[in-house]
Amino acid sequence: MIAIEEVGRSIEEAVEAGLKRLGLPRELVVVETLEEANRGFLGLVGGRQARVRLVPTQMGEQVLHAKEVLAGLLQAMGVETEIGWEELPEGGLRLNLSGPHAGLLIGKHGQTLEALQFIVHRIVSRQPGERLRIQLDVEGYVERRRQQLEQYALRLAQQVKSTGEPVTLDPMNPADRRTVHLVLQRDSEVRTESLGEGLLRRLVIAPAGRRL
Amino acid sequence: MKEMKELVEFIAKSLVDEPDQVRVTEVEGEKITIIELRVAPGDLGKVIGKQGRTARSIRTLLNATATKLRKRAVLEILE
Repeated sequence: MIAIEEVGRSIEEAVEAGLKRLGLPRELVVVETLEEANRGFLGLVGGRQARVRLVPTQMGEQVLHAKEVLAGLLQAMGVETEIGWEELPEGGLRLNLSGPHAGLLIGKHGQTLEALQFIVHRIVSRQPGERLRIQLDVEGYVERRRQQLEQYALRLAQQVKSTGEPVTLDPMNPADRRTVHLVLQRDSEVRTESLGEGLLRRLVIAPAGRRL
Repeated sequence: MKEMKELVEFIAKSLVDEPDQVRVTEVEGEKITIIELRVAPGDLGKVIGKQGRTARSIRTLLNATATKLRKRAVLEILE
């Protein structure tokens, strides 16, 4: 457990300084007051600073750990990057990278980004505790790609409906398949299914009533 | 140059149960650098992963790093 102590002229100041040092927002730490500030005699003698202890919540700790692992990896790769993060609405953590090496970090068809994400997740989930979904993004790449993939899936669904024939997509990673499943879930005229194993797992879009 | 070895070492040490047993050596050829990785026998699965996914990811990151250095590198995991 990583906990830090911080001092300040008031409790608020000490908390503020501590949050800055940790790089975490207020809701991801538990604050314990160790000592209240005391102005002493006329603010001259016997004054005492406020002292607080900040203990990251489980999510806070996971955020710090994931960031640390990612920073270590990027440093080993010799890449300079800013790391920002946000909590995903559906749960989990998204780490955002930006900097001069964006292209390198994305790689061909996002391969490098995917590998980076996989390795970070592997290392972080070695720690006991709740499994955390970790998503990496470089300057909005993941979001742009998700939208493109959705458009593509919708076009294929139209084609399936007009021809009545199922369509098999190229092998895709689990995240991409998930995107397609989700966007076509709302369409009751087609159904989607993944077939095959591992690297060769392919998604099939078929008319709703038809067996695969 | 240093980066490629460091990267593999960093990842391997972060993944295994016995980081002290991780050995990485670099064999520099004319065109290709070979990075050899050795881990404790019980940790082999940790650096290879299900269907080799971990090993493949390490190779992808190694390639990205090598490209940046205008080099070519291959990773060999030795038993």
